Amino acid sequence: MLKESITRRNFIKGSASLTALLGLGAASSQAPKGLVPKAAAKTNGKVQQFYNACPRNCYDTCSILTTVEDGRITFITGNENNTYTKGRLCVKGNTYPRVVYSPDRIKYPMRQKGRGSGNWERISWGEAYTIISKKILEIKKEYGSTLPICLNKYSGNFNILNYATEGMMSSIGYTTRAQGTPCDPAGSDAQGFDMGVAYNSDPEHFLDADYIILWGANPAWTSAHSMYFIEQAKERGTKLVVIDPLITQTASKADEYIQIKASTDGALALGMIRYIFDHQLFDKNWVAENSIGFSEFFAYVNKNITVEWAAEKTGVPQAVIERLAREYATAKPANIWIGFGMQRHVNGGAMVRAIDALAAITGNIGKRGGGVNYIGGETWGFNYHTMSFGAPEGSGGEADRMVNMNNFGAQVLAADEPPIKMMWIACRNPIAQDPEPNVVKKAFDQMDLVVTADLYMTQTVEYSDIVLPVTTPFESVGINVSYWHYWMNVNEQAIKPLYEAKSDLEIAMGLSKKLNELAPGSCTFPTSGNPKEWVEKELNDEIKELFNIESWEDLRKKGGTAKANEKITVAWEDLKFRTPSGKYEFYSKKAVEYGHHPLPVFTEEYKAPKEYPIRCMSPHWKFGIHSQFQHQDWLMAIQDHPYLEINPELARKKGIQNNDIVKIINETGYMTLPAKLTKMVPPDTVVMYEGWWKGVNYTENITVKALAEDMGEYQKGQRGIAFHDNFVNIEKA
Amino acid sequence: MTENCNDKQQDRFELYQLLWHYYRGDLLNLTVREWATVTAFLSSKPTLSQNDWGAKAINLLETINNQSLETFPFDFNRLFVGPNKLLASPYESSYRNTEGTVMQTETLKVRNFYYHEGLQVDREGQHPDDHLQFELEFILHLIQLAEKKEILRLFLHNHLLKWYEAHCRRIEEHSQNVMTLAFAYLLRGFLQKETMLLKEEEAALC
Repeated sequence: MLKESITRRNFIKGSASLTALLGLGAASSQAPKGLVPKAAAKTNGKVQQFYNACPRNCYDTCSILTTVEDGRITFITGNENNTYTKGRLCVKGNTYPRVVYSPDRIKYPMRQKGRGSGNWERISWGEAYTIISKKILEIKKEYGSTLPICLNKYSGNFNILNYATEGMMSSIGYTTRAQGTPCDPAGSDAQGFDMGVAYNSDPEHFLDADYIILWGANPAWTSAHSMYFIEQAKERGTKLVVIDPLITQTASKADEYIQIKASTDGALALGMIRYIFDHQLFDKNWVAENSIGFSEFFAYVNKNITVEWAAEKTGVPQAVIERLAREYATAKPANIWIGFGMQRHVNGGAMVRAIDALAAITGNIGKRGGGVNYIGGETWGFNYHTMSFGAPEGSGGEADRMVNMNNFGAQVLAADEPPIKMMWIACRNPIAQDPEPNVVKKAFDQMDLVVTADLYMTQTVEYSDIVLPVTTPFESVGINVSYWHYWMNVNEQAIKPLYEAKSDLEIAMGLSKKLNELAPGSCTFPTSGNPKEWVEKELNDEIKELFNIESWEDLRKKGGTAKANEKITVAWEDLKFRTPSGKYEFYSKKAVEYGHHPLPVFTEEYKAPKEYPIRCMSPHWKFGIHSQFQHQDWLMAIQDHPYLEINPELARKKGIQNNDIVKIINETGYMTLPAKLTKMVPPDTVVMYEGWWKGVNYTENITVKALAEDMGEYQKGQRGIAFHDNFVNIEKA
Repeated sequence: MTENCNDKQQDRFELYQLLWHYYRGDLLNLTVREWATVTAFLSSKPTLSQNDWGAKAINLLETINNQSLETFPFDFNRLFVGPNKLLASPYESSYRNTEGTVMQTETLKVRNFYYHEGLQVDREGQHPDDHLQFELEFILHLIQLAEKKEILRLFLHNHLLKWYEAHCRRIEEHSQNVMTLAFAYLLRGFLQKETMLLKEEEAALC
């Protein structure tokens, strides 16, 4: 019988005793309302499908097809309408149902009594907004500006609507921002000096390559969908060469693997160039028509570089360098993919410039199937409407203040006049990801208030005062593009947000509402709005034309995904470079402006200090993206603890056996973890994969100093971090 | 129904109600004095005081002081709310789904019981239907209606009685506060009695 009349009063009748004695009414806690009469039309078995976009910091940025039954996600798979995703997700993407429905998600806004104490109390969104707003207004009053408020947000969710967090900050006044990227800065600057900007060709064009060099890239782990096109090219007879200090899974699939001493890739490229010059294998017409500074570069190479020297420097035999150079120069077209890891050295930018030069002298740039492919941003021309509201009238200060994301802790501590007193962290996990995490913690200690918006408990949340629960991609609206492929993906709201989770956009609106209640005019960010209307505002005529869509809704109706017009998918096809000269610049005055040599010259690698002779590399892990995914129990079930890969030769010298606990130490810190003996790493190097592991109180960055790469300021505002120039010693613990 | 039976029924109702309040988080801010009332209330229930687990719960509750009250909400949140990994998830599917995932078939089966009785969780889809708080609320609804005895028996048998022990074990393993531990004992002791009661009823039917 349908009990239309059921109310809470019925439930507690006859029990005046306890409930009444304790004054417990239905509204006495923050608990959800509970059971209510069933809506008449409700039935089980309703099946719907939605398009979603994986928004993580990943080359592949997949289009997802989500099946929802009875309001619950029951299946996800890749969207077949997207020829890059090709109907398949990677191992990480396939865990999304667990990401959504793990009982361990952060569910409610909560406040920690004592930073790092683990003593959390539940608060309402209203209370959270009030605490945060009051602190913002208090800071503004005390310091005359909002500059003591620092935003550290980056790549955990690249949905364009998530820029609402930056917009929210701009809407309260001028603030301090973590600027730069730990990802690609040196390489992006190098390509910026050479060509004007980093711009990669469509990875689906690997199929058109006659020869492929994966240079310090491991797509078998980090870009599974690109591997399809590489493997297909191989099937058609394309030679695949992998150059890497580590024998990666990608290396195992190569026709030829070349093990190179880390951080000497520039020497290899220059050695190849010398061979190509000596044997007249370079494209004279191309360099004559499309470049400046070639003769200076030619002279530099002939004077300073020999193949013998390159062999000695890189550890790659001279005969191999010569063969590689000949094969590369005579293949048409030949394709190079430079991985981000390769440039995470103090000479990373210089190395990328040398590899670019190799592609340029052989005329491979601007050709379908060729190119020197690193990263691109051609499809990111959104309006960024969420960031358009500006500072309120009378805001103190003149502009946002920048601190280097890559030396965050030290720069936050050093910031003065005014000091930094409040931090807002979104889409980031700095304590797990930054170099010198202990310094980052010290910076946290200086804060009056640390607010972190996240999906899961992380080391950064552990050290925050307030945590705000955020939505998964399936619970909010959005739009995504990639820095690698040329697709735009719709993100529909497939299910209701679980618990009390909100999107970054909703959080921005909610905070603005509270700020304006407490101090009218204190925040310019809109206080309400439909997410679908917000997302439509991101699209302008140019981007609509580029993807041949009329609107977000049109994109949704057309299968949830669209590819950009072919006119932009071959990088530099028009050979109109975005350098000051409009040509490919072997000689770059812009580089000189930023304090570098104008030519792609050889730059020495970082030398290991005597007491710490072993290089510790921290490449990406196959079951995680930075600090995301690995902590999921589905992936923990495969590998639940980090380990240190050690070559058996080095292990023998140190008296270490497989699974022994080893101590890894340098002047920055130390940690202990199990050893895994493997010949996949060279004897002078150990490897600890990047990630964040639940239940482990250290990260691979414990021994990483904030040692800067050579480049980054031109394109990214700040230099990157030489993560792979991390020198340590190891011993049996 | 005899007066004794009525009393027993009333006791069951009240104990379910107390547990419902507990899992809603209603008891997080009670004073020492109010806890004394709760303890006296529990001591007056023979169902509990004569049961080992119930007696242990009452003994623990008698030790409550300001210090245990202070850490009680933090421990409650560590076990059941977050933001960390839940140490004793309050969702049935965490125990009965092979992967411990919420909003799965196990959740739908609970939802179907609610539907059968013309009920649903408010804003369905936002909170998993099989949170202990909702299951207890459903029981409170059924237990008041004599004609729902069979549905109640089925629900207890198919759901709450199938997972409460695992839930209590996790609390007992991870609790750092006498009150959360006391309520694990209380839940265990009371539901053991309920299990026996169902068996007696089944035997009587035979």
